[in-house]
Amino acid sequence: MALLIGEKNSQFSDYKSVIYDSLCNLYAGKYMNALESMMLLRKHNAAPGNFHIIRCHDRQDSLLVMNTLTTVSDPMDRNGFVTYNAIYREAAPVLNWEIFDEKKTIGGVEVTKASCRLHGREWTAWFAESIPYPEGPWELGGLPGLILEAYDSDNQHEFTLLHLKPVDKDIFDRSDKYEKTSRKAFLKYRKDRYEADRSGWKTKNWPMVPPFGNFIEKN
Amino acid sequence: MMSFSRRLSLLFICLFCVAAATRGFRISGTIEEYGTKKAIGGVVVKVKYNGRILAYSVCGKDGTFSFEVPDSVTVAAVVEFSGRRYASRTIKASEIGTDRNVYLQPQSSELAEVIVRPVTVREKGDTLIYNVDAIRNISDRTIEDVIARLPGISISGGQISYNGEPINRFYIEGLDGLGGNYSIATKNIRAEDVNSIDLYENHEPRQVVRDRSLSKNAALNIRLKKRSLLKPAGHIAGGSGKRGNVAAWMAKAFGMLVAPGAQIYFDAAGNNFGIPAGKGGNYSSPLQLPVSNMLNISAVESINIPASLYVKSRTARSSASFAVKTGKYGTLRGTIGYGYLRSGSDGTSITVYPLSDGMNERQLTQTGHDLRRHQGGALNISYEHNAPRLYINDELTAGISFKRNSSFISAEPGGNIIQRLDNNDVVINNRLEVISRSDSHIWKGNMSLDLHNMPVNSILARNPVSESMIACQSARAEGFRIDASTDFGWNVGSQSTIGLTLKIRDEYMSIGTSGQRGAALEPTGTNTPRGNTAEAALGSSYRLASKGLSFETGLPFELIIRNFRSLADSKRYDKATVHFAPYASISLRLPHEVKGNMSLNFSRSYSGIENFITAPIITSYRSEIIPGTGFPSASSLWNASTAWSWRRIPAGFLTSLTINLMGRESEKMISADISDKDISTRYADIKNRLTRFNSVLSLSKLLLGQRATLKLDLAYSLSSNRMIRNGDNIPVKNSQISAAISFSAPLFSDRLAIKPALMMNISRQNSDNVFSRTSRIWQAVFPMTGLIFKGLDVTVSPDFRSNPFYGSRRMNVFILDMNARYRVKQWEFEIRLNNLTDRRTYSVENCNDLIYTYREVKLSGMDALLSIRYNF
Repeated sequence: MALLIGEKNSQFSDYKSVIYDSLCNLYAGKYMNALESMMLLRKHNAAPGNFHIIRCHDRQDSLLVMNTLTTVSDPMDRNGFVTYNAIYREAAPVLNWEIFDEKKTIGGVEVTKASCRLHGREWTAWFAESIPYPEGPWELGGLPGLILEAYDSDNQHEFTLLHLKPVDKDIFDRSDKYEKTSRKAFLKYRKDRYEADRSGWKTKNWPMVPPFGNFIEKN
Repeated sequence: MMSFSRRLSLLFICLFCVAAATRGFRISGTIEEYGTKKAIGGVVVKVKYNGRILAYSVCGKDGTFSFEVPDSVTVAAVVEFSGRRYASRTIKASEIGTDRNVYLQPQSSELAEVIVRPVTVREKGDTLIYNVDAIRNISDRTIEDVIARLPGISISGGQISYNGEPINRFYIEGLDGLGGNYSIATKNIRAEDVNSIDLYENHEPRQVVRDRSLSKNAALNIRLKKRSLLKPAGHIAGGSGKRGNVAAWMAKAFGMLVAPGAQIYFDAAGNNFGIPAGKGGNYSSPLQLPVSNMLNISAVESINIPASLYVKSRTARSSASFAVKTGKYGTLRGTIGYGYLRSGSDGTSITVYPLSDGMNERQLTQTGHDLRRHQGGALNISYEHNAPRLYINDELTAGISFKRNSSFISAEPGGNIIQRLDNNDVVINNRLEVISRSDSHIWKGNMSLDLHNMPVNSILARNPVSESMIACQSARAEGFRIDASTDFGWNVGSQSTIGLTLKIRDEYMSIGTSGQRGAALEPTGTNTPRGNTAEAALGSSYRLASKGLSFETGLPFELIIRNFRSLADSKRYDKATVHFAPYASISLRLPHEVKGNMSLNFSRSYSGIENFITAPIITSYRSEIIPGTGFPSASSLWNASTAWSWRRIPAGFLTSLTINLMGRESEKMISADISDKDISTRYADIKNRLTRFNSVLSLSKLLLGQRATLKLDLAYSLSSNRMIRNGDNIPVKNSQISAAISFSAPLFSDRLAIKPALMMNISRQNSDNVFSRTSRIWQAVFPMTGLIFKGLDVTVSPDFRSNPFYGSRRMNVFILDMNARYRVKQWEFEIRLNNLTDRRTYSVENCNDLIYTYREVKLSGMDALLSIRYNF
């Protein structure tokens, strides 16, 4: 996973989609057919990803969620797929962080322990006061420093910093390629799609096929 | 008395005072850019007191902030403002007041790059995740090298153990494709192809009983790197060189294809320079080769130096395995394999048997060379359905092996002898296990069917000059066994089960022996006893599994009816035995990563069959076993054990302690009669008591940024029993202390890897007023691997041992091996030099149950081998 922090917003997504966005930036304006773009993505192990969380620095109270859903276009014809790209805004979770005196170092950076409850789980986060970015992985954030490590009390989910690197380029904005909707509408759409293709989806476990080519061609 | 209104106003005044005392001081304002006076958003504002953060906020787009600061800290509290691309600023809280404009100076601050080295081991519930790249160093070639260094894990003879207990499953990408032959994977998969190793503590493979079963075994799951998935991966290697005066050669191939839901493995290897293909280092093997080990064939030698130093061999082995997921819960597995081994060694063996008076002893000396030819094949197919409500496992195994051990022996006493021992083994086995579960009950059914011949020896020993026979015997046995058991359990609440077990077993066996032995070639007996054993068991059990605690107890009763008929005397022996074996086991998991297990087992057999087999079985020209005087029936056995482990994963510390106490009492014991030439053993009608205590303490700790491993193992055992030798009843006490400390670490920025280890073993045997013997063995090794330049690494392995030999003498041995490997892309070129010290003999003393064996083997000279390997 990767957390990109830009001038106006931050974006949390899987790492493959970061590579995908870099390729989009690099090849913007260059025509490429679907096969060529597929080969390019495979070579760089890139994929558009199906989940992005965007947090605007000026609007800490809400999050922008970009979701991609790929389903079979017709349950009887399992060779066709349909991709739905949706973007919606939802309220940022209210995180009542408790900050402790406990400190440790991660990669030579001193971090402080904090904890909060989110979506029914008790989360522990270690944030760096010396990096004054109130950001973090997934929906975690709002601390007076960047979260470098976070895990839940059952150790079922864990985020650990591997590499923090300054980058000159802007975050690739693909939000205009997504259809604006609401969380409720998106969930309803997803439910309808799954139910329409319940047997095919559940028994065959169709892989999520990235909508390769779309963005590169258009940019 | 105060009026009500006065009391009310006093109460209000008190409340006001309390409120005033706790009321804070408000600070607020707007953050603006210095010069432009433009509001800055996203600035982190912290109120700190003595370094602690009392309050904080992230200001919005308009740059405003507002805090309530407690009066008690107002004087010393400070407010820190830090924002992206602005210089941080700290102002005393008391100076801010309300509606203050705070100006921040723009500053182009570059974020420092941070690279975090991944931790070597982390925990996720009951799973430990070892990061292979974090601990791997230049000396690690295969994944087995890495596993052996992981804290808490040990490898012995290819078998992986965690906290001293063998693992029960070995998964690769979540699929157990190799079963018990997982050493094929660990010895061949390159360390650099593995991403991580998951260790599942207390792993119960059967989903259906996962919340009801007490499993003290762990399982390993190997996660490969993406480059090794969905495509064939492996290697092909070949080489040749010189070993003494003869040419040496080796060839090896390994391939695997790992995909989600399907895996294929292929392995083939052969060589003629001392190391059985597929095995390495020290090895030993029992005389009888069980089917499960048929693919890991090995020599019968057991001497604690690398076999490559003294065994002349020619080996070949090959196996192919597959595993396929069928549906959501099903897995189909199959393995077919073949192995061939031809090995020989030269040496001298002196066996000393102390007698009861402490002064005399029998001493038998053998000098000569032996030659072993083993070959075997096995086929194994299994299907497993592992669903939350239904478990089915059916496993079919068919195996065949032929073994022939030939020796030319110059014996004292005895003269020159040529001995040939043949052992053929054929087994077909099918095991079926079904477990079904509903909300109210659990039902288990087991059925096992074995068709087998007993691997009894055929022996031929003669004088090479006169051709006269010294011993010959043809022994054979066939049989089948069918086991069926059913277990029905009622769920009581969500955590406990009360169960009833019914078990039925029937076994038919036929043994035939005929032969002659001794100078006068006296008949050893011709006999073909055959008969049935029927067994029925009924037992009850109770299981409780709740969070952090598991308890299990059972009361099984068994009725065993044996019916054998001996053709020698035409007598029929019927005997019923009642077997009672209560047990209790408790496991608990405490906070602070402590796990404990305590178990108590007791079993008692009442009565038993006696004297039904009358034919002796010769195991060598001078040794025979006479089981004909009956099984040690009417016995009792108790066992108490406890195992504790404690781990602190963030500190990389794991420790385990196991203590076992065991007692056994039977009505019969083994009696050995030793003459100047022969040894024969039989059961005697004498009460036998054995008590044994042993404990093992293991500690392992990650050091030097979790890249180095320090391991310490301490073991102590004490046993007390009696032996009958030449009719004398002798008490024997054995005690043994062994300690091993090893350290492995990369040094000089991974350019050097060291793995020093020191081992010590002190064993003591004594008998009241008769004799006492103490044996001390030391070993120190210091393998070092250095990276000379990119692609070229050199390993030097000095090995020093000091053994007792013949009482007061000590044999000090220094062995030095070296190899150099050059890697370029997928190619590896390696030159290996063994036994650089060119030492010619190795001697060692073994003591066990009043038998002292001194062995001296002739070592091969320095050998050199050049090999080329291609990895794909």
